[in-house]
Amino acid sequence: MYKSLALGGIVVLSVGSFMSCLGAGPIAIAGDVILLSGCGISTWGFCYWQPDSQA
Amino acid sequence: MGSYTVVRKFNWYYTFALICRFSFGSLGAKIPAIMYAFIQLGWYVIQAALFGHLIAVYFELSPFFEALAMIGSCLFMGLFALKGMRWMSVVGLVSIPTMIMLCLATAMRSIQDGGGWATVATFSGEETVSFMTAVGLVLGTWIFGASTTVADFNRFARSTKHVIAGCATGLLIVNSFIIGVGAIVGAASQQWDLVEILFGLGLVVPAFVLLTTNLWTTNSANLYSVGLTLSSVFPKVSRQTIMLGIMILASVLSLFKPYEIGAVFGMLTGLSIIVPPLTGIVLVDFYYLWNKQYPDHIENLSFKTVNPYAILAWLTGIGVALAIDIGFASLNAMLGAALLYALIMKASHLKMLSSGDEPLVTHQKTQEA
Repeated sequence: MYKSLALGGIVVLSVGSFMSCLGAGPIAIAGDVILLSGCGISTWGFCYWQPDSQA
Repeated sequence: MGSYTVVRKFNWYYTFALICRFSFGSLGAKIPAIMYAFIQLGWYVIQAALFGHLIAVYFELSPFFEALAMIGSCLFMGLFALKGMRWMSVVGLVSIPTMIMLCLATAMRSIQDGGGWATVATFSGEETVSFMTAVGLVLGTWIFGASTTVADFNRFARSTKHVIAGCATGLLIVNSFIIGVGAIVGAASQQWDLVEILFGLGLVVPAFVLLTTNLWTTNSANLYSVGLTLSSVFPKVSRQTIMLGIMILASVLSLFKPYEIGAVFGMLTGLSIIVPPLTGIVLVDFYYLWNKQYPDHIENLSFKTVNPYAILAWLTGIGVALAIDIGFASLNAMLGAALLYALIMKASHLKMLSSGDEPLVTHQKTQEA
């Protein structure tokens, strides 16, 4: 589960980065929220799962 | 060169400070170690202060609150190094993909707003430095980290293959990518700072995320490495205590506004001539004088106190870089020190291990053979 959170968070933050930088108005704001959420989700996942761990 | 050193250190699990004992002696090794710690501390202060300063600029804080932001930034970044490798690896794993995506997105936005690839292709800077100076500065920024800091972390790798893959990916591919993005953004927007460009476009959240991830990862690593190095210089003081002391010292130093561009360039120029001779000495010592066979269990070996020839070679390397204008200063410094060190050590037949340890080393080499 934590592996999915870690890797899924990276996908979310990637989408958020592009929306935030390339979009305008509401899309950019939504991108900011998605970028920050992705960072949070990914951090949560990596706290319990890391590429070297067996879990 | 840095990567070679990294691989060698990995094989013996020795940090930069420990490996210097073979060439500089037990007490002499403390000189490059302390110098190294001060340089790392300088980077730590510059980056932490820059973070606090940019927060202050954006929120239009008064000088008092700017000082608080810089102190807070020094303490916050240090907290992760204090907690150790586990926390630092979480920061790295999240930060690196974030930085890569934001850099790509910023480059695309800059090209889009700056008039397309044609603007990038026709860009010509107003102020120029010579090609040799520019290469020297770039070498200065990386030779230090590659030959010293990176090695301190690669001790934890599982195999030499992992170390080489890590160095090739991090130092060669990712670093080149980041430099390339910086160059494209600089040419497209006529500005050199990604964060300022993002602020200029009103992209506040990406700017802060990029700034935080960029400075946070490198600065935690800086502090961790300083802690390791100074632990070997002051073995009776715990690493945590040393790191706490450095965080407090850094907080005080950050009040002197070290982020100003003059200080950064001064630091880079200094690094490009002070550090490369050390790398040259260590490489000659390992490859030429020890024939790639440093003994294991450094804790059981007794070294001579100081090797004046290593110190002389180091100072000569610095002198060579200052005196010779041809070629790259960093490379001149490294070659000058390496050549002089090899010549003097061969001519003098000086052995850095005390005589009692030589049979042990010979015995180990015979067994390995």
